[in-house]
Amino acid sequence: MKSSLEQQLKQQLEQSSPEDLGFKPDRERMWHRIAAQQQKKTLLFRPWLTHAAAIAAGLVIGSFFLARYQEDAGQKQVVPAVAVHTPQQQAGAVMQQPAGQLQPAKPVTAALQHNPVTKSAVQPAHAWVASPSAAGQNTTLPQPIAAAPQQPVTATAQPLPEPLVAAKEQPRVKVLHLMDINNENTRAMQQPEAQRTVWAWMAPPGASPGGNSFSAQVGQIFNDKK
Amino acid sequence: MTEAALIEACKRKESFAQRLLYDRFVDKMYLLCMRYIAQEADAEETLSDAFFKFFRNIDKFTYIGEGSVRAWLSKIVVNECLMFLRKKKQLVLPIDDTGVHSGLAEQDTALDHIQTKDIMRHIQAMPAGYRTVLNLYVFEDMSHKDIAALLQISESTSKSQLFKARSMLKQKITEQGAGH
Repeated sequence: MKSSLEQQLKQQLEQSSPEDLGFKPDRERMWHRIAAQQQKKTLLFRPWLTHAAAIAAGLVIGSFFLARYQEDAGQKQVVPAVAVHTPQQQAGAVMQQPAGQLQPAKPVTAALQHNPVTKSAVQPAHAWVASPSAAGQNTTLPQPIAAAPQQPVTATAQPLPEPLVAAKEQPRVKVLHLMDINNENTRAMQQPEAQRTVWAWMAPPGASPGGNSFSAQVGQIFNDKK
Repeated sequence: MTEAALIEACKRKESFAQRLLYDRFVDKMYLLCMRYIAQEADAEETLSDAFFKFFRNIDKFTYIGEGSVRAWLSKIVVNECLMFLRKKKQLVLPIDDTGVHSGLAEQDTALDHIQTKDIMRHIQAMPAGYRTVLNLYVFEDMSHKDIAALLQISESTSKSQLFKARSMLKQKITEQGAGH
């Protein structure tokens, strides 16, 4: 139970200011301290958040590129450098290619699987042959070129200084002619079945070994001769 | 600007509203601090911390009428003062004081011949334990049960401390009154 003294004291203190009681509070300094504490709390949080976000972004980007690198490494097929032999070194059909019909930017290889001289040096994966569609051209049907086992392909575009020499007949040969190429974007690499053949990247989307296209018929002719 | 509007603005982290609220209550809260903490520098630091906590936790406050802001702010300031005293190990109270104390109110003593600032100075000169219980009972209107729970002491200790604080204050006022 409070006495009247205490109640009176409480009432007097309630009505007084700090200066009345002999005090001199520094209100501005107290306010600056409060503001500084509020800003300090915010500033401490931001750098940590910024650093964490930068590290997280770096990890995400790095993992993305790592996954892409691993994916590309699994799909690439590298073909080491191959030797192109002149017709004088081989017995067989020779094809002359006009410059205008050369396929640009394609790796050029000549498969000589049965030739003991070049067998070790040649690891072909691709080969192309221009069609005999040009008027006045002295062209002959190209010899089927052997499709070696899967090897990595070098992405070098080398112009043909000399005509290709057809190698001996090889099993699993698929010859494609320019007539059969309807679409320049036909990439047989995406077809698991076509990946097994040397000419896979030139095959049209609907091409199949057993189809009725000119190349299929030619291929059947050569296969029958084996 | 009304208190309700100020509170809403403070919840939106508006600096000018925080400053207005600070200016409105800084004097009363400063005197409250000075009743618990004798040194002005320590009292200012404690008051700043209390206001900082007030603004930080203002989202949890619901305005229910006139005086609710001051009551909530006073509670925060008192807790900060008690934390300061505990940290400085100045709040030393016996766990169970079975000293003789009286439940009767003290005799009235006229305050006409003594100034309020002298009484304030006498309160500040008391030991921290006496001063704390006196402030909580007289100025914060807390019961001995609540004081015991807050200070983690027994009710008898709270009553004993209050008796001793009153006796000391009365003695100081009497000595000063006799000197006049």
